[in-house]
Amino acid sequence: MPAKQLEASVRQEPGGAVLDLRGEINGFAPQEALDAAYAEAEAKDPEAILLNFEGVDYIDSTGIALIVGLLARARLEAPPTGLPPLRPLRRGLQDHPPLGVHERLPGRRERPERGVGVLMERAKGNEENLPGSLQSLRGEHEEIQRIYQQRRIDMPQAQVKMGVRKVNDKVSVIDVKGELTAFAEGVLMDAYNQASDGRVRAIVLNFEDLEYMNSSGIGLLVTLLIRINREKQRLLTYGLSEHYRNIFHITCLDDAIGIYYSEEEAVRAADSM
Amino acid sequence: VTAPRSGARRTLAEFTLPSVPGNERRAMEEVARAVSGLGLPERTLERLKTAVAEATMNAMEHGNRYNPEVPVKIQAWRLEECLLVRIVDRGGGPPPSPNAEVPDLEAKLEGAQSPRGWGLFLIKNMVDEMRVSGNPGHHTIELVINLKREDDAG
Repeated sequence: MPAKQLEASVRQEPGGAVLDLRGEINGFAPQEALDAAYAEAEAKDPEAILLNFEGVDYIDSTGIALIVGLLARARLEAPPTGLPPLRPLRRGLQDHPPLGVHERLPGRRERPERGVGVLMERAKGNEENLPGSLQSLRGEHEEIQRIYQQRRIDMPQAQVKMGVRKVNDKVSVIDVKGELTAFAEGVLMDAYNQASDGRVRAIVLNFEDLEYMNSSGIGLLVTLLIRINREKQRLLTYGLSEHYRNIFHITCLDDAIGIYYSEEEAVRAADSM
Repeated sequence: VTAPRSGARRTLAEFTLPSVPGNERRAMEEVARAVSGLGLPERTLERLKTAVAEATMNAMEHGNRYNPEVPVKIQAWRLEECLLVRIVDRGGGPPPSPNAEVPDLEAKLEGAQSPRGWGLFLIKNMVDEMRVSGNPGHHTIELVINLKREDDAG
């Protein structure tokens, strides 16, 4: 069964706008859809924007980054100023039937910094007189912005290239050249999307030109495996060095991924599945 | 953590790196260069490189939060019977727990564990001993390779 792509829609509720999210929030989630929905919510000029995750099946680290991006945007446009805006929205949502997020928060103490992942405050009016918090929060916000911008500049590009070859109707090969690290996530998932269309039942990763793989790269392979298992496909590899074969053994990845010495061997195994 | 005070110690490397993503590879190559005279078997060298890279990445990410102005310090010593590599960050929180949840692939595939979280597990499996410690201003991770055994092995 294909993965459910993220869908987002907006509705107005007393005290704020609700952004209903459905499907999977991961590297495949169309950021433009999320951005457009957020912009639509923002256009309603709400006191707060509530992210409703009730229809969300899966969130990975890239999905978390997308949500943090929304949070950064909310803070940039209206820095957090205190907690009053949260209360009317929660009260307003009291009788709303299907808000799972709200149901999980009854009686929780109002803590704006905790709540921002779910409820993004967009304070309006003059809060200059709010006791104590405004200046320090603004200072913190500016500091976060500075570090964020600096890190964006410093963030290296993925040092990896991946090519996709269809060996036959059922088997695709992804040639990995370079480094498999956290920065390779987008490249790997794009390659997988390209490789897995149609009737493909097995994906073969060619690691002959793999230069370096770290624990984040292993995490990526696990994420890929989750997708592949869900699609009822198989993942196979060839070309791993002795060192990385050993790492696959230590991590038990070799139980879940077929490891072969040559492409011919891997394709033959894939064809016989 | 025991400071290497033995008279038989020899400093092989001492350097710092800014906490910038990707610098773990520089750390790994630098340490590999520094220990090249020890004649480590290829397999041991590859394991050491992976352990150094993972420990440096942890230090940059979790300790120094990838603040490029906060460096990671790396030192390597040849002691009487072992190679000791020490990686120090300036993290303030508790040090990483060497007894943290062991990654379980089945659990990860079922969604019960995050797909990530392999770093410390890898390090532990790459070296003969891993020691972790911390104080309010630093986290230290020490990697030990037993040279005597390597000598015995050939």
